[in-house]
Amino acid sequence: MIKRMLLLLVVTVLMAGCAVWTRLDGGPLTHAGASIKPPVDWMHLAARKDSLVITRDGVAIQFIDAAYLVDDKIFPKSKQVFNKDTPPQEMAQRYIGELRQAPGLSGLDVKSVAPETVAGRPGFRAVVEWRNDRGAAFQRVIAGAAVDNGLLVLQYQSLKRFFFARDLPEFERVLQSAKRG
Amino acid sequence: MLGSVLRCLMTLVVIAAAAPALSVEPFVKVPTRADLASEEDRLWDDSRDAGTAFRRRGMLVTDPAYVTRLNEMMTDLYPEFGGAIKVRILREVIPNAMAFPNGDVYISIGLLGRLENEAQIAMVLAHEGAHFVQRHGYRGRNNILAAGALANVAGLTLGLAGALGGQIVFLGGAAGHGRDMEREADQIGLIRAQKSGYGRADAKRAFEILRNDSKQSDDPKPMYLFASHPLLDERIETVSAAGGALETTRPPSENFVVMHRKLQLDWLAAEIGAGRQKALVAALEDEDRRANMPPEAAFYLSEAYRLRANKQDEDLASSWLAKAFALTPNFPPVLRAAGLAAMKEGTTANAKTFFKQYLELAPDATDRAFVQSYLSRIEQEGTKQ
Repeated sequence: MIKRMLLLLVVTVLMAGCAVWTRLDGGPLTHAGASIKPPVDWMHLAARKDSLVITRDGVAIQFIDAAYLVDDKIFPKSKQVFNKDTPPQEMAQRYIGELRQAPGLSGLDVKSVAPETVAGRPGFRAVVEWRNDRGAAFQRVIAGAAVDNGLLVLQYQSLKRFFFARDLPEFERVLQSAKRG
Repeated sequence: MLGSVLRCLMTLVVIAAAAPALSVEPFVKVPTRADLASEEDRLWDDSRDAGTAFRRRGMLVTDPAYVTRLNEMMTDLYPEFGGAIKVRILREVIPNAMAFPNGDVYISIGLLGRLENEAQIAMVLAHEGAHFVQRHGYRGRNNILAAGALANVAGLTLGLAGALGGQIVFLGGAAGHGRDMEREADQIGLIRAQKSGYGRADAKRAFEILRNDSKQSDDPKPMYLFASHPLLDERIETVSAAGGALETTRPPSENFVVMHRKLQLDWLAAEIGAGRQKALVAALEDEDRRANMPPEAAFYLSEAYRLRANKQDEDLASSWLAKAFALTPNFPPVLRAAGLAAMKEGTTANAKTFFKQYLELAPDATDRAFVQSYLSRIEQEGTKQ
């Protein structure tokens, strides 16, 4: 009896583990303070609490990440104080600086930094690139803007080869739909 | 990365099992792979793989002339190894240096950039070369495991893995090879450097610079060898008490100052790009240190104050930007900063001039679209008026 209960428990836990990805039907999705209209048939990683993560082929290939960050969640490594009146270009500089302190990203190259409108607010759009241990190149688009007293930030990361260009239009649509959730 | 750490831990367990039977003598000439025990041979393979990962990740600084000069210096310090100790530069702003068991030495741009001259760099190279010759990478692992400190090392490594990777920290001794071996490397390195005409005053100065920066680092708990304050205190004392030549007698090599200033410029840009404004202020506030840096350092000090944004930093940033403009009026980042400052003050005609000059001098600037948007805004506001 005990063995059977244990087996049931294990199966339940395993099934819960399998259920963290939810297939999306294209309807609005709100999570982690951000709201987007995701592409149809992409998957949502619901278990992720601090940001809204969706992917088509798996996060190792590509993902779109949306989050509304406040207080010490904006610059957790450098501990800089967020000021909503910071000009967008400087906000991009500070955000990329934070990114460069993340594991494995010290060799990150900034390809471009440009103005962008996010949720109707003036913001920034940065494109960065780096390689992993096997030499595979990844590109990431980071779009962010100060909304109320926080930073609404959307990121699209993908393998540079083939996937980046293929799924970039999906990100553009997601970015157009983004707002504070 | 976790996989790399676990693989390394497994290697260590194998080495630990064999440890009591091992007698590790220093290398006296270039070893062949056949000279190595199988466990050490495996560490050489791991070293090669870690080096490949650095290269693939684009973490190596590609300045052939500078790298060649560093390798010439290493060969001069350890002539019997005839170039087998290979030096490379890592695009990493944290000041550090690592000697892998196979003789590959990596020095971060954050360490090189902070040092003022060839003699100080030679001291670091001599120290790292000693780690290889004394086989500290291999010996260290035996000692760690013999002391039963595997759990602590694993914890330390996993913590450091964020910046460099656990395997790399193990292999290169990024967190130090243990005090005894560090002392040994300091002693041997100093003797080698003095033999090549470098004086211990330069070693002391190098360690003092790093100690100063470690006290005011952006890293809450610097654990890296050349960023660790207590270790540097001890090293300064050791070097001060050592014998041998105090002053460097060897003249600097041709063009080294020019090459080094160029590398320092890359380091300053990398440091500000990584959001390490506090570390930059610590490095650049001292006038004596700025005297051994490119003139563009004034601009980076201004940027560091602006981004640090403490009380009075706005005034300091403004004053240093004026100095930077006087020193390097054609440095594109100075022109962009001057344009932004002018725009903030409402002197749009000046802002327009600065931004246009910026785009002329830096046609491929990554922030070109932003600067063009400022120019458009100025034009539109001018039309309205």
